[in-house]
Amino acid sequence: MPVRPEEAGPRDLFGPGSVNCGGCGMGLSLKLALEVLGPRTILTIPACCAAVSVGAFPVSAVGVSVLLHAFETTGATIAGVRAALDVLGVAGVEVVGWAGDGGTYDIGLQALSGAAERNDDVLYVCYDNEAYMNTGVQRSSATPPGAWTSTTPLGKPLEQPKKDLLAIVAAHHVPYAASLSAAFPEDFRAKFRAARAVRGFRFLLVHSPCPPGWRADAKDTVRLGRLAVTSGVFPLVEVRHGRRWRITVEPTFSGLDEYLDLQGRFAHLTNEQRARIRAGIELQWEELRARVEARPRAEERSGAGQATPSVRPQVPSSP
Amino acid sequence: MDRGGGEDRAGTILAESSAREAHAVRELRFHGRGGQGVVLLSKLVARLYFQAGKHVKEFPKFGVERRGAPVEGYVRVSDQPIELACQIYEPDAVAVMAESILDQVDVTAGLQPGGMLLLNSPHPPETFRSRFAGFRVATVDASAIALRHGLGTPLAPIANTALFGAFARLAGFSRETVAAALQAELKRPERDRRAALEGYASVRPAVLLPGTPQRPPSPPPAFRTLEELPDLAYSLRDARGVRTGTWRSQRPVYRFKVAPCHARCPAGNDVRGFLGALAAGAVDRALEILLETSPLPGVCGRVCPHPCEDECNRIALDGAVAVRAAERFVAERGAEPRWEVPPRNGRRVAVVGSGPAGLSAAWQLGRRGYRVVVFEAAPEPGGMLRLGIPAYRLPREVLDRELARIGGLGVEIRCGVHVGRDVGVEALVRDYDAVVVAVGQQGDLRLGIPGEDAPGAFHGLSFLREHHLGRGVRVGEKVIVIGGGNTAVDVAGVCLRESPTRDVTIVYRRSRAEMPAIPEEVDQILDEGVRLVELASPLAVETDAAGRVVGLRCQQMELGEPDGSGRRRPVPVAGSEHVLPCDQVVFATGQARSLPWAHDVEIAADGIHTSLANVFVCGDASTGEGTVAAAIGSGRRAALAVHRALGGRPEVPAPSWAPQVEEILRAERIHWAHVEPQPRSEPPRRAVEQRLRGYEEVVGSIADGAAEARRCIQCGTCTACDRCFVFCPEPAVIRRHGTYAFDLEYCKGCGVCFEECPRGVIDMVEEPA
Amino acid sequence: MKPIPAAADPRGVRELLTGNHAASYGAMLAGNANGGIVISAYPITPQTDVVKRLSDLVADGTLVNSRFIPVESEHSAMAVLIAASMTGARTFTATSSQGLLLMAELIWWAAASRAPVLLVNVNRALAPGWSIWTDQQDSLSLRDAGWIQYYCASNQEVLDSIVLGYRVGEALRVPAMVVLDAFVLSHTAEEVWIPPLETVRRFLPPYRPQVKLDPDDPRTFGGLVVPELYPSFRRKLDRALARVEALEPAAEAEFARLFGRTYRAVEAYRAEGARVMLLASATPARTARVAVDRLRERGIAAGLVRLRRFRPFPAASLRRALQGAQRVAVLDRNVSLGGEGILATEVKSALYGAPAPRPEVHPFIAGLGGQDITVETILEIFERTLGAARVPEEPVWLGVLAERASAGAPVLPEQEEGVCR
Repeated sequence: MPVRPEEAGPRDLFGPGSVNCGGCGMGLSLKLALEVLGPRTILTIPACCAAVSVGAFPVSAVGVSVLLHAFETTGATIAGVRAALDVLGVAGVEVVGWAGDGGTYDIGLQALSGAAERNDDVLYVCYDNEAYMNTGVQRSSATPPGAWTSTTPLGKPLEQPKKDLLAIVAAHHVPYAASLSAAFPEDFRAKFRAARAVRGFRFLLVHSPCPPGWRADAKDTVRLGRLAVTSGVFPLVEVRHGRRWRITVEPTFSGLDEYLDLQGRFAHLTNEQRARIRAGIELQWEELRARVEARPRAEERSGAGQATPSVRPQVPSSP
Repeated sequence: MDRGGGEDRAGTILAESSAREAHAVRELRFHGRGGQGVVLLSKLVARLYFQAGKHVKEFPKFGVERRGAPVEGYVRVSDQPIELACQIYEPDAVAVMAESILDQVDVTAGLQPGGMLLLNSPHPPETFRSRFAGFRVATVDASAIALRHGLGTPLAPIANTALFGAFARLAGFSRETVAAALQAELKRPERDRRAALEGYASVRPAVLLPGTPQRPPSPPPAFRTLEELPDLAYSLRDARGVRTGTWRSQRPVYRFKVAPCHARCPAGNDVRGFLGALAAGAVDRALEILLETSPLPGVCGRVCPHPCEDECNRIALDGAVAVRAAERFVAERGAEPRWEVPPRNGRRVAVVGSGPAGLSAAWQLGRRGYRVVVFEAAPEPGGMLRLGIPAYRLPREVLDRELARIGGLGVEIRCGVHVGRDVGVEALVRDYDAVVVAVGQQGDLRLGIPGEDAPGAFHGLSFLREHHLGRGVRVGEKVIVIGGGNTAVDVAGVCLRESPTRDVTIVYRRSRAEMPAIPEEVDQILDEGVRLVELASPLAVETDAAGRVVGLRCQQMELGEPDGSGRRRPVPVAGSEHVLPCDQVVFATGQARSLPWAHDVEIAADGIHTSLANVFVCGDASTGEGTVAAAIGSGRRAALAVHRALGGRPEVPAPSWAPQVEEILRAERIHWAHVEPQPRSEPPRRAVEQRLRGYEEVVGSIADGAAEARRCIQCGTCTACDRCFVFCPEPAVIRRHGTYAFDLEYCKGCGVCFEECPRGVIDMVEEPA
Repeated sequence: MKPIPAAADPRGVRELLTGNHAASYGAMLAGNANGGIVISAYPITPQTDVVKRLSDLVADGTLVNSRFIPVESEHSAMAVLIAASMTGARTFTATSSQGLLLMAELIWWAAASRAPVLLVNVNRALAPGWSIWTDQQDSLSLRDAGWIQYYCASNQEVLDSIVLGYRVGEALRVPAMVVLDAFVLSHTAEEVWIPPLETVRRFLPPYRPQVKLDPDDPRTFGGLVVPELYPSFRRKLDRALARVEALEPAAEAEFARLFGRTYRAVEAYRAEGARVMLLASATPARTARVAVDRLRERGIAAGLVRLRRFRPFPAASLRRALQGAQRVAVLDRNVSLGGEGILATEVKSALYGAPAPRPEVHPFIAGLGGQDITVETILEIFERTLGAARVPEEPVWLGVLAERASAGAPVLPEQEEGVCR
């Protein structure tokens, strides 16, 4: 594909001309991801916003190989690409699945589990915008409690917490799994690099604000991503071999109200409901810290697994 | 497309159609952008006809909707049941939600000559004479109406209901049916109803524009034969042909702003610039930047009251950047630039006074090639810097080094020459091309209270001058200093060091908060043991029979309403007179100008020009602002005025390094999430007992000036921090060699760059820009 | 698991193999001929032996440079193979019944992706009630999806059809399904020649697609297609399938030359001068030979046509084969519920354009859910066809319980006393 002569860099691999919405968190994440992944990448995309964003035949806004495939098949599809590359003797290619939360938490969970359990040498990225956005904002099992969607008109019941997908994947004991956000680009890049540095099944859960679906201003995409992390709503962690958990960005546990206020999908919440969301965050962090501390002794004795590379925690550095 | 026989010909008649040319509306098309509510518009129109008993079909363009991207809605109307299930290709009327769409979509596609076009536009239909020749065009300023009724924002008005009202009027519906349709489609229709009725009332009737329609040529088909098509849908080219920039209703622009520190600096220092260089480790460059505007960074780095720090946006986070300490750091660590004495331009300028204003004027003139002679009445140069400010605040070697720098330009300082007494201004005017008068304020302002001239009563400036000239001023055992300014504080500090008993009291008629002295200096002398008596107004110096000072009679005050200076005015408390015992009183209650000419010379409003040709004035002699920084700024302006008067290229004394300086950047525009909290560096201070042993400098230097400079947010300027580039989701920010530009072909105007710029460099402006 | 000994006989090695294992060796030969293959499968009775043997062959290195991906569902198996095929690999899977239907979404996907996956389907009836025995309902219900479908009558044909299927399918970039009957072939051992790899190599070139997922030629596959272009893509796929008719005869001829075995999309048996013919597919078409022989012995001019390839439907060949017959009995081991047997519909459709006199079509439905089809079953079909007074309006269901004589009033389930006796 022709390269823009005046500017080498991410523009070669993503855009311009992608038809995602202005301020799309997924588009931003894909751009940042491709910067790290580089041109020797095969990307697979199931039914989701990203499949539309790359553009309609005969154009593509993505400069690497892309296979668009059926909704529920990401785990299997990337396994198939990797198997073919192995059989064909093609080395040095990263195989990356790029699926939404619907295609991962819900309909694609089985194929994800299959690929994770087989430890196929692939990188599965789930960009999590917390509902079926491409079809017009229907709830998914990634939708946070309290959030309005077109199928939870009164807000998703608070008794239905967001599925802890990272823990589910970690329970497959895959070599590397992490949660990340484009609002923390250094952490984001570090985790993509860390994922690339190991072989086997790697899983990245990318928090991906969706201004139209969250009923938010397009300009606030990064701000929302940042607030989700600093407020503790979306922890940035990594876990190796399903056992060694590490928090990479310590939240300040502030800004929850600002986070909720910026989004129309939470506009209906009462103070009591907000308090329950806050309590849910506390509980989530209690569990998380217990996991971090529960690093197995047997593994330490055996010295299994390489040292966790240091990921600079951030708030991005001062100007 | 065969639309079927003569079916459903009888539609509603557009009200504005002439009777002769009755125009049946059968098929309607609505253009808008994703998120503008075009679907609601077509639903409302369908509802109108439905209420009227017509048969209708209403449908969107079947496809993917993206916010900002062009979208369409359709309505088909008939008196008969509608059999047609195909899409609409040849509408009878078209309504357009935003004028900006006209450049992106052929809104007249399929519209027959004479077809109706309703545009959301503030312009009359005739404006579109050339563009829509051959069509019937009506306009309504639906966006303005929407905003009047609180629908949407200026950058994204929700104009659908106002446009709906306009359409309903053109189609001959009543106001009541408009309201009914809104009632049926909306949960809370009040604002929309008002907007629709205003659109109804204010639509400009359709005008048939003369001429024949211009049709853009239809693009060639992408594929002509089955064989040209690939076996499966794989991409054949990149997406650069998809101009997503057309979705945009607002665009980002890079606009540099003035940093508040700079705006507030009386010397006009590029504070942000020198801190930026220092932060980057370029301390030499930082010094160069400072020397652009001031020859006295070492002085200002010690004695400036630093109003820049009062304005620093960082106060909102964790305290102002320690600009003064950073300036001192730069003056100490920066390598002296190797000044090449500029080629002489043959002009000679006399500067009267070698205080900061005179030195500043001499510095700026010397750098522009003038031969400058500075006349100084005192035996040594420096003016107040030498004779007013105690050495524990400003070591004399610091001053000497800066004088040497100025001298290095070839500026000559003649000390011991009192202009006005030893040589007249007239003589200077004769001998020099220009004269800059920078004599400061040498006269003591008198309070006019009894006993002011008693033995043991002094005036502050005279006291300091005598002291600094080494003339052995007597300091009593119990000293009272009257005043709240820096002179009072300096006098108190000197007295403390000279007095055997160290019993020094400052008496001030307002409270400490109102003291004009630099707060740190007040803190410092209070630490050292000076007492402060607030809210005491001197009434008289009490003397004994021998005429010696024995006390100060004061009146207790309380704070009333604010006065013209904004400070609360002290008002006497009745019956509160009392005497503070002392054996010495120093009045530090202000200074007065004493200009070196006898007759009246007027100073112009700019504070620089005078009524004498080629005679200029600057510093305290002109403005009376009383700070070194103000004197430096004033001296520079005087130098530039001289330069201009003598035929030099005009220079703007204001900040001038950025092309688009429009406004001061305030803290609301700072993106604090990008600023890591970092406490302000405080310079070390000598212990009190050490201080009182002499005149060693009290305040030290900060250890890491660069670290402190990194606290500077660089408000309003681009630091190439990359955030706009990194966070643009498109990507539509182009970065080349550390500079940035927006790729407006593809920028969707989402505003993430605007929101994420840490220092407010990016603004969003409405399209079309 | 014994390694296959090196072949001295040019026909290869003569073995006693079940249909499932014949499929395994077919896939092995195709894989080794290509220098590698991606296999992905999920177990289901009665297909399991196919992939069990293949896992062994991969594990012991007989199948070189290959990957076997044991997925968590048939759906994923097909997803793996579509992706692998689009990356340029030769691909294989096997399934059956419910497994095939779980794949259904991706069966369509594979064809429109132009991914020449080869799938062995063991024909098994659909639940409920549970049945593990053979009928053709599973594969025929996916007849419209754009796959080549071969219905095999012997274990040798299973092996050979895999080799042929790759050759034709990959040349046209369409997927191929090789179908064998549950148990009747899948678990029945027969004599099978496993041809030498060298011969297979000469017949079957490696799969090297021009356009594929390739970092050196980055493209996006499967993007949104606007309504203006979608029909043209469907038309192209349909044209590719139609080209099987043109391509296959040459492949069959070369196959016959190299391997000594001949296959045709439509195979006639004792058709010369036949007045009544049976159209059948898969193993019943072999049993039917015995029945035809007996009828001929009795002087009845009976003949047989076996439909080996169901898609693309060989309408012209079929018309030629049936020319001259007065009556054609069609044996369907499937039913399009609410309609008739699927073959019957297709045959009628094929004959619609045939020149008069056209044979009458007598549709029969038999052998569902593994009900055995015997010589007597076939003879009954011939007898009822010959004895019919007129062309029947409905298919005749064989082997089902009789309806109550008082036809007309529907029999409600609770009234069905004695049905189970």
